[in-house]
Amino acid sequence: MTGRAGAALLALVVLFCLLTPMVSGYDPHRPDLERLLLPPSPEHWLGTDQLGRDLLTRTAAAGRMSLLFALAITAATTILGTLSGAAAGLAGGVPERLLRLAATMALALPGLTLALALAGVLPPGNATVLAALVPLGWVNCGLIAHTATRRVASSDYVLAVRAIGASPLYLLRRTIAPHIAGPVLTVATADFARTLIAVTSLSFLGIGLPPPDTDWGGMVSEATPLVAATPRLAIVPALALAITGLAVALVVDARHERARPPA
Amino acid sequence: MTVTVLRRAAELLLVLVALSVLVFLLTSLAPGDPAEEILRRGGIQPTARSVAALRAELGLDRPLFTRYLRWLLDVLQGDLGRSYTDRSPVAAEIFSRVPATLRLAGAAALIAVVLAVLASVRAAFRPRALDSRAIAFVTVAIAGVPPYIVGILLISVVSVGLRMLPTGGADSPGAVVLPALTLGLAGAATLLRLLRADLVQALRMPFVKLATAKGMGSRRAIMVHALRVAAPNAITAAGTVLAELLAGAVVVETLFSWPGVGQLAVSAIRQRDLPVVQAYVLVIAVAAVLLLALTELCLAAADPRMRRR
Repeated sequence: MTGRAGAALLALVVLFCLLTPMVSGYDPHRPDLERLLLPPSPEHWLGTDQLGRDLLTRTAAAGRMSLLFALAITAATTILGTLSGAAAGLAGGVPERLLRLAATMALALPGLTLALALAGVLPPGNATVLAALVPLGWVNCGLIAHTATRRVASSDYVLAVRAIGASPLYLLRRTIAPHIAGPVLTVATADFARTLIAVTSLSFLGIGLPPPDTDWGGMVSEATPLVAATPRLAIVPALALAITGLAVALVVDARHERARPPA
Repeated sequence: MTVTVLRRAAELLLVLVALSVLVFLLTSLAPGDPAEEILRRGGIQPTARSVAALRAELGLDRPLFTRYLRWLLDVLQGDLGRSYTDRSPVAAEIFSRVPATLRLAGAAALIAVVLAVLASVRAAFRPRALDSRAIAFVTVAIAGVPPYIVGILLISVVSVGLRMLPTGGADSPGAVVLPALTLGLAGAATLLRLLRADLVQALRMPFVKLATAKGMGSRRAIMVHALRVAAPNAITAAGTVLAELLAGAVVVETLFSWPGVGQLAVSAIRQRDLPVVQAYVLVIAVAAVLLLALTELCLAAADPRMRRR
């Protein structure tokens, strides 16, 4: 039930982010120096920010970037993790050990540490955000794909498919993939939630998306120095991200509940 | 027992060495020449001769492997290099900020553990009660929302709305409350989730059921038996959460202008001061690895079953 509510809430957020910039008629990036820090009004439902930009439009545009980047990174890490995990699970031996070692190393670097290091070393930009978050993000998918593949790889019917001479690629696509799709999808939704937090956190720290593009983290960061005078500027993007995070978390929780074996 | 400890120690050493290689490569393969960078920041126009001279002085003209060994020896002696911006020793700067980060992470850990234990016992004791459901919902919510969002909402309500605590800094005695609460709530959510599942499972164990059947109140059954069964997993979880708190402090420190290691790292990244970034990553990674190893030791002490493995 809560899973459906989460999905519906998420759909609303996506619609809001996609449609608002189209219908509001304001440019989310262009400053308007005659309309600085206006309070909410019929023209500007949530008022304007310190550069005169419509807060509602800007929140929606920032949401679009947040969701887009989280989705792109999660897609990349899921594909990378699933392929490497499944391949290592099928091959066994050295590839398997390499996967375990890489995972151990990755798990030794908690939270954003590696992403911070990469963001510090690479030149700032959109590509850096991707490069900073993909190297750690694949681990969860890689491990679950590996475990799930190992479990089916030793079963009789996989042996049978192997015995009739199926190529490894056929084996992966037709025999292994249907079995690991469920667990991988569950991990991928959880990864999406984590990635959304990571992307916006990098922007909040000022090392994420370069201006004029911004995401919710970047908006909160810009608004933090003004929080005492105009808390609205921080609260609006913060609430938008909180609602989205809650929606995703509800979906993740529902998937986990379903995946748990009945007691 | 001794063999297990020795083997774990060897593994630990291997992971630490691998980490040091990773951290070293990360910064030495970065685009840009450190010698040129240092000269330019010193206000000197880099020429081919001055760059070559500084490269020789810094040992950058040596092969990568020699440079790694020299760097590792320096690190082992507590020398983390010099900052690009003001040529001051990085180690001194990092370690002068460690106490602030530890104070924040420690207070957050305390909040996380107390909240998680209280709430999970309550949730396992009466899973269908309204407050248990509320706890479950809040746990899910906090897991999906980044700490700095929780933090900015706390600032808006407590500091700006109620004018009770400062919005940032570390000068007044109450300043630690909001950052620690922000960080602690995130840790509590993770910890609670694991602990509650373990407690529910422990309550189904035959000997706990026997205890209740013999007339022990279910509250006592939880406190005496179930918590003890769940303790090993909880200790593991606490170790992981503590490492996450240490790393997660970077965001909270930035939000609250808390003068810790994370704030230093973020400003170093913005100024592209690579030696400081490198030192930060090394310190956090080593702390996390050692913390997890320590957790394992505590685990062996708490759970006799672990000692034979």
